[in-house]
Amino acid sequence: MGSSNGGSGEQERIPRLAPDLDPEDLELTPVEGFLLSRIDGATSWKTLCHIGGLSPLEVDRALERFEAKGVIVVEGKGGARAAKIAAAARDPKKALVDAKAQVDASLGIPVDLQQRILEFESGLERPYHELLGVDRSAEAKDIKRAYFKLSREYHPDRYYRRNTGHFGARLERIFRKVAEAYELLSDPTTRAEIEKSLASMPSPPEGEYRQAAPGTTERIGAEPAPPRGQRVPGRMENLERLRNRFKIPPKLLAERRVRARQLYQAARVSAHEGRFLEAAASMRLAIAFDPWEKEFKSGFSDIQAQVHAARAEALLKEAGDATAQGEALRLLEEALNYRPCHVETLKRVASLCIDARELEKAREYAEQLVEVEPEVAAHHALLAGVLRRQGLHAQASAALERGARVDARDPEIKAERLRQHRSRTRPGGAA
Amino acid sequence: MSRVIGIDLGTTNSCVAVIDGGKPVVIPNTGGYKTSPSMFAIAPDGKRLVGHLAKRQAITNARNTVYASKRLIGRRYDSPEMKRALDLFPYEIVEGPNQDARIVVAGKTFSCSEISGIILREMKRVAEEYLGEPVSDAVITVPAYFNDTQRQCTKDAGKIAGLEVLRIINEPTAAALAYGLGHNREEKIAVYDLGGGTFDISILELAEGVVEVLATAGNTFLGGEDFDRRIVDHVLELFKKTEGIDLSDDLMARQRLKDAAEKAKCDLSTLQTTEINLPFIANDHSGARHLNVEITRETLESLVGDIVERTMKSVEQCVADAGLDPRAIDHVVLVGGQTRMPLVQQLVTKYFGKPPHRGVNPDEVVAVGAAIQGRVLVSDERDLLLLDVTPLSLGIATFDGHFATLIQRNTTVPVRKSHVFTTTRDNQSAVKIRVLQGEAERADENHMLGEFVLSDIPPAPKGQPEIEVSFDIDANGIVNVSARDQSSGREQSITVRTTGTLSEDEIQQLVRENAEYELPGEA
Repeated sequence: MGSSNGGSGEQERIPRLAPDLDPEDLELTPVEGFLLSRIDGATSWKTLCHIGGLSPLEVDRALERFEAKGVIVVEGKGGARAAKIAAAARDPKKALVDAKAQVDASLGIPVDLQQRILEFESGLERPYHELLGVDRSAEAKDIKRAYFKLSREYHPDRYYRRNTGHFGARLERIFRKVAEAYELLSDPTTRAEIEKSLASMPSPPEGEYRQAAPGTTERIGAEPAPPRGQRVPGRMENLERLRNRFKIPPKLLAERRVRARQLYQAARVSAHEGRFLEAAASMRLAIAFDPWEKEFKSGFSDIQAQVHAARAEALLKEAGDATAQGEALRLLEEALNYRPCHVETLKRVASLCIDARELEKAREYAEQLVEVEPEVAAHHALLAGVLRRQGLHAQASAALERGARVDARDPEIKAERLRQHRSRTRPGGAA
Repeated sequence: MSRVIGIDLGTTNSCVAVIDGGKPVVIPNTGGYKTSPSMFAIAPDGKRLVGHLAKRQAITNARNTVYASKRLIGRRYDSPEMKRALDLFPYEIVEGPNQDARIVVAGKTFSCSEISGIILREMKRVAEEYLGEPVSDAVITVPAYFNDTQRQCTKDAGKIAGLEVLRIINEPTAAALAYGLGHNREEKIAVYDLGGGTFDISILELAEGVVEVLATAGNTFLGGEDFDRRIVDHVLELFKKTEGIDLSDDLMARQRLKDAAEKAKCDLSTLQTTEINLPFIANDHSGARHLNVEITRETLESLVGDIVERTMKSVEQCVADAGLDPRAIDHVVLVGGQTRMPLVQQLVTKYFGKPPHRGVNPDEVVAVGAAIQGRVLVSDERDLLLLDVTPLSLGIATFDGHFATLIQRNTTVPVRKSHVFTTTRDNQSAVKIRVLQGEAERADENHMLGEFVLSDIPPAPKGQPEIEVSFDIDANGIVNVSARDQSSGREQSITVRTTGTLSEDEIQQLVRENAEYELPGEA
């Protein structure tokens, strides 16, 4: 990842703040503000990618924007160039990029096209309308036409099997952004959102930094931490959900419902007669015909659970017959895919992992075990044992204490307490 | 620059084309036919037969003749389609090591990719003979609804045949390219493809050389062979009535009758009346019997009318799925030999309110389209661009066993999407990222592409760490997944290649093995 940045040469360069910069004039998100505050004239571009609080790709993009807007100058490139770029940015009509250094006549792309690619890429963070080169009032078909035109110019297939050098990654980046612009502007709902946010944002004076349009991944880093086990219902996702709404005429819908009901009945008959795979297939079809019926989904889960139980059972049996430990471990782990919370399997996998000295994995499974049955002291003891083997004595004893609070007289707890005691008193005896 | 061939690897027949002197040429095989049956057989003397040779002995050597293996490729042995195939096909199908289906021919077990590979090798040979030069690059077509595994298995088949598969493209898209549609203004196109064994209908949108699939529907168990079967049954019944002899268990008679029925069907596309004339079809106490039956176009239409009606039901559904009115379709394209039948053309014309495009040879247009795409990829011609999409959604499994989609199906590639996830336990030190593909809500009902662990997450209360998971698909369809802990900056990633049902080693082994077989050409 992070492959789509400007190449290794750029990574070693050191950005510093432009001498005449007044940060108060800028409009930045907190994350971008943080990134700006890390720029001290000593930290390299590459290091910033890792400490910037954003993904490396986004740091790349943000730094490129900063540079283009004259917020920062980058050492090793010469102040003259930065000044020129800053000047160009103040006059977007003449937004030419001094790309000579990056143009390479030996590549399989004509030099003039290379220049066009670099120019277009430097303006990727423009609002979507501008990116596609259409008016805010453009009709759907104009948006599509603009997308197709840009696709034909910048889609990587245009240079299939040619030596594209660093332009390969640039073309991919350009096309992804163009496709994103088209995707969001061609849906009325997302387009309205974009227009609203553009309207609410006063057009900033030229030469200043402008926030990218909403809905991009740019802001994800600043989103609040999501609740347990849930996906962040990001804005992008809401937009996608709206876009993916089904549009089916009512007559067809009624026919489909009838069909779905028949399939559901067939599935129940199959399940009743023990043919679970067949039942699952019919049920899946029923859901395909009528995805809104909750009954089908729960029916499907039930059948799927039976299929999985059968599969897990078969795998467990196979694992029991396996003579090689590695093979048994593999089979058991597969069984866990079908029955993730099965206590006995978790226990066996955890102890096999310990035997195989795969402590990281063992810990993962032991933690799951504790999660599934926090009321069983022995699980805590098992986790404590893994942590002790990993040499994490403080955490091991904390785990043991949690177990002891559940049941201090549990034999496993007692045994583990003894082992912990020994490993502390005998240095190097962690095993 | 080496030439790229386009191959329509069909369920019943296959076809190969190339761009020669700027014009598409459909390459005839040694027998002069422009399509070859997608059949493979091993004769009783151990000789391998492909194409027409295999077809000519298909009924008499039914157990060792493989046809329509495309219906099995990339499917799990326990899938419903497979169950149907097990009932229908006379050859032996067994479960392979990866829950795939393998086919036993004359005691040797073949994977479906290998069978397709044998057919592709034959098409490669046909092209090389015609061009007088070696051919290594190909574009192969598949139905629009094929998933990544089926596509990958088809790619593997190409590898086994000694071909480098530049792209796998959708059959309806290839057909549209072949008709040269969509170069200028925006057009909506319906592709009605009635082949030997399958029926597909797709609605495409084309504009300025860019093609998008809007909807697709069809029936994988309906095609021209059903028409033949109806004729055969009809004639068998007539013969029984008039001559008192039941030929249905006589394999040699059936083989002759099936060949004749197919020919009569083709004749009736241009003639009003034809006859099936099979001398010495049977023997009884009164001596040799001859079969001589006259069939009119009306008879044929009454025999198969309901099948054609059924295809129109799929057409209606597909047009509705695309959210369109039939009148909004600008062009209707017919593909597949069976669309030569006047009844098919009448019904299609009536439904769409306009006559369909039909080149002279609807069974060759898909191969031509594939050749055009191959040419576009490697040459300097730039008037065309195919926008590839992901056929199925991609995402990861969540802790509670759900499937979190990051990239929706039908998203144009290349694409990159990312999302932030978090931990579910206090001080959790590692998360396992399971990469899945499919449309089901529950994680384990989807196809797993790969997994990896992001470890050394600094201790924090559950729900606090922010783990950004990014999916990146490049123009060649290669998926890269990475996970990054925002606080520590630690990052882990994997490159996922959708795998077929064969391992790389198996494929290499088969490439060597099959290169040794010098297959007999067409007679």
